[in-house]
Parts: sequence; C-alpha cells; structure tokens
Amino acid sequence: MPSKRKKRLSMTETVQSYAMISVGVIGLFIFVVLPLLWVLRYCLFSYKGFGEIRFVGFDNFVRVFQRSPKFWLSVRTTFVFAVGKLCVELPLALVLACMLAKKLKGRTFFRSLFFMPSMLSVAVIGVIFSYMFSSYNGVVNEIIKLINGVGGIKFFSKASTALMVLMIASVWQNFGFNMLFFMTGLQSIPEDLYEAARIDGATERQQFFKITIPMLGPVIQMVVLNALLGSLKVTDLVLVLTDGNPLGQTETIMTYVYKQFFTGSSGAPDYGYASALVVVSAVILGIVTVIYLTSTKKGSEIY
Amino acid sequence: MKRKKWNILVYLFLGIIAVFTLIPLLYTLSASFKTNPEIAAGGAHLIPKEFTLDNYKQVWSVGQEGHTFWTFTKNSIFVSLLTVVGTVIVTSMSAYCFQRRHFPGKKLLYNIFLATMFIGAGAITMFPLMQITSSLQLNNLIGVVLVQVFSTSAANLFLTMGYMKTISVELDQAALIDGCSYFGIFWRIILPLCKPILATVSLMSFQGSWNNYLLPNIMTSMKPAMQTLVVAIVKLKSSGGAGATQYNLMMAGTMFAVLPILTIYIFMNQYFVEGVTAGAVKG
Repeated sequence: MPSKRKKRLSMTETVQSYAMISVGVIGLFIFVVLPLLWVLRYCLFSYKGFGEIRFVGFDNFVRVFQRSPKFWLSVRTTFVFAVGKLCVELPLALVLACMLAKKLKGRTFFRSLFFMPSMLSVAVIGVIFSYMFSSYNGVVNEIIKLINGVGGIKFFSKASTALMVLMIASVWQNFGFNMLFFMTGLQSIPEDLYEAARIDGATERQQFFKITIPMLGPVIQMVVLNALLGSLKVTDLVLVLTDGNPLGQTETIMTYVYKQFFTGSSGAPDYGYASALVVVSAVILGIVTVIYLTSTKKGSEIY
Repeated sequence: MKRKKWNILVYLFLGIIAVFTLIPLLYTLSASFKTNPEIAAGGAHLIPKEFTLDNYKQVWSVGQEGHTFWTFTKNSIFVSLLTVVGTVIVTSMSAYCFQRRHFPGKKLLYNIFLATMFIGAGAITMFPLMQITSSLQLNNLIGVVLVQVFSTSAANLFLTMGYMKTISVELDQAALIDGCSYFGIFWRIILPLCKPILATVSLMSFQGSWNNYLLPNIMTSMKPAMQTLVVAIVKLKSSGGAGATQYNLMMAGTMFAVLPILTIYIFMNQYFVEGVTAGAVKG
C-alpha cells in the first residue's frame, strides 16, 4: 500500500515537473538548438537562398580549407586582437585587484568606477570610441596635437592602428570586469597564510609570488579562459567601430562568418559554405578551449 | 615612511586609470552639448564654448526616418522589461525543477541545458536564427524578447539553483502534507523566498537586453519603427556617411542609452557585482 501511494505521488510530481520545465525546454529547442541543427544540415549542401538545394558532401569544407584566404586572415586577426589586448588587460586587472583588495580609502569608489564600462553596451562603446579616435579632429588626435604638435592620424585607414583602437576600446570595457573576479579570488585567500609567511620573514614580493599567485591559480585559469573566449568572439565592437575595414583587414571570425550569410564573398551568399564556416569556427573555439584547459591543468591544481 | 611612499604611488596609479576610465564618457557628455561646427573644428577642451541643448531636442523630436528617439526609448523599455519578466519566470521555474523535483530524464535535460548554453554560438548562428524566427512570424520585438529569454546564460540558472539550495526542504514537505501542489510549492514558497537572487537576475538580464545590438538590429531590419535605442544610435553613425558625421546627435543619442543604465548601476551596484562574480567563481 505505501509503495503504491509513493508511486502515484511521483507520477503527479513527474507530470507537474514536466509541465513546468517544458517552457524552458521548448524555448531552448526552438531558439538555440534549432539554429545549430540548421547549420549542421546546410553545411553539406549548396544553397543560394533560391533554386535547388544541392547535396555537395564535404565540398564546402574543402573550400573553407583551400580557397578561403580571407577567412583565415580573419582568424589570424582575431588571435592577434585577443592575445594583444589580453596582455594588457589581464595584468592591469590583476594589479588593480591587488591594490583594491587591501584596506584602502576610496576602495569601493574605485571598484565601482573601474567596473562601470562593463555596464555599457558594446555597440555604444563602439560609437563613443569612433568619436574619440575620429580622423583629423577627433579628441585623441587633438590630445596628441597638444603633446607633440602634429595630429591628424587616420586611425581607421590603416589595419594596424584600426586594430589598436579596437584593442584599446576592448581593454577599456573589460579590465574592470576581470578585476572584479580577481578581487573575489583574492578575498578568499585566508589571511593566516600571509601571517605565517610574515612570521617566517617573507617579503611582500615573496608573499605575492609564493602565496597570492598560486592560491589564485583556479581563479586566474577561469578568468583567462572567459576573457580569451570573449575576445575571440568579439563581434559588435568590430561591426560598429571598423566594420572590418580597411579592406577587410580588421574582420574577425565572428563578423566575417556572420557577413557571409548576408553578402557572401562574391555577390550572392552561399548558405552551405557559410554554414561550413560556422562549423569550422565553432571547432576552432572548441580546440582553443581544450588546449587551454589541458595546458593549464597544473596551475589550477596547486590550490 | 616606506609605506607612505608606496601609498602615494598606489593612488597615483589608481588616479591615472580612473582618468582613463572617465575620459571617453566625459567627452561624450561634453560633445552632446556642443554644436556640430564646434566639434568639427576640433580642440581637446571639455567645456563647450557654446553650450546648447539643441542636440537633445533634435534627437528627441526629429530622430530619423520619421521616428523619434521617444519611439526607440519606448521600444528599448518594452523589450527589456518583457525580457526581465520572461527570464525570471523561465529561470526560476527551470531552477526549481532541477534543484527540487525528481522526475525521469532530469539529468539528461539538465545536461542538454548546460551544453547548449555554453555552446551558444552568438553572432555566427544569427542568420539561421533569423530564418527560424521569420518562419514563425516572430521577426519583431516579441521575437527579440523570446530569443533573449531562452538563450539566457547558464550563469542565471546556476545562481538561482545555488540560492534555492539554501532554502530548507522541510518547507516543501510541510506544504506538500498540507495539500499544496508541486507548482503551488514553487509559486507560494520558493518564488517569494528567492526574491533577492531574482533581483540580481533581473538586473543582469535588463542590462543585457537594454545593451543588446546585433539581435534587435537583425530582427527589426527594414522596420525602423521597431528599432531599439542602441540600434538607432549605431544607425546614426552609418547614416552620416556623406559629408560631416553628425557627432553631436550621435553623442546626444548615446547619452539616452547610457544614462539609464548608469543610474541603475550607481544605485544597485552591489547587486551587479554579486551577480557577476557569484555566478562564475563557483563554476
């Protein structure tokens, strides 16, 4: 008798749970899973949006690997962008976090201020920085003029300077966000460790490299992965700030692939080819993640 | 003595970074009060020589393509508020099922949730997404809301589940004995008790939705009346292509998008900080 009662109860539980979870599941299926399936289906076909949908096997992938120099240029640009800006952003975030993790007057103020840019829209940041760095009379040009007399740099007409502006804008937006994570990590390090080290006569420098950094290992690992993937996926900033110009030299993976669906490389877009690009890009991001996680395994285990 | 010197250096460094953080925002604010000729003439001065409110008036009343920024602001508010409501309902309900209830296939569903939320490819699946939504007649603001609600980050789910764990299961059992249904437990007990964490989730999803660019841009292309603020501002940038770019209008428009979110941030910054860090550090 009790077992029967239990079974009936769990039956109602199951029914009600399914009813509640179904909203999320159906939505997830339509708006997240279906687009992925769409891509997986079309990557083996050739389809220009009209006419016949032709099965071409792996031809699209062959084209991606053998006849898509612009895509691989965008891959290269993306990695240059990501590595370049992270080399500035993460050390800056860590240094600020170390300063602000201690008792310091105005600590909350600085923390809130540095985190503020992360609250803004990436696209709007693009607009702001396009004003700051505009050619001839932009604010940055005027400031340069004040310092050395000559301004007039056309930041957006050379690939190197355009990429630099992208990096600066991205660092400006994200350093506070990463700083916040480092701060949380720092605050979770027990104070006794430092106390013990001080009693043993360790200098501040030794404390930093022998206690702070190793104890922060897992947090650093997570922050770097987050920041790396975020940078490799940069989209809105590029679309608004440079739109891939000059000559597609600042196109990133996301913007290049995204545009392939709309304009294509030679006139009409080929959805099959674009889908293959999506698959390859996703695989690239996946490989980066796996390589990163396996190669940093040791660092995160020290904790 | 050494301590003091060190402190001065620390404050100097913090000060430099503070200036770096503020400069773009201050110049944006300043340009929104300058006339276009003054901006075009250049100069690195922050205080406008000729202080004007015309930019705001023009953006607010004339706007572009026959639609004013009042329309765009309304669209942004509409989309963001509905996204918040939807996200709170879907996140809390899913979190409740995964955290509290037992049903066959729970583990599988949970893993599917996590996997898809992490895979979420963003811009590169935007086109397929558009194909799907337009075949459902959803290439409008409602579509933007639905996509934002259902592709919500795994962080929200984790955050809510983590909080629910701290609510005593005995409450559920007591309610069950008193004849409450499973949905009733969620609605009458869990949901009210989760208010603090749902406040954080609301703020995060409001901010995400208010700031979103690519999705509303795609879903409302060819429908200028449906543009959100961010989309309209970026349009201002590209429409100024011929001749002088209208930076004055762009910057005034930017202030419309930036000020609400900054005001919320200033008053609620603790919630944001909590939301951002708590969701991720645990993972």
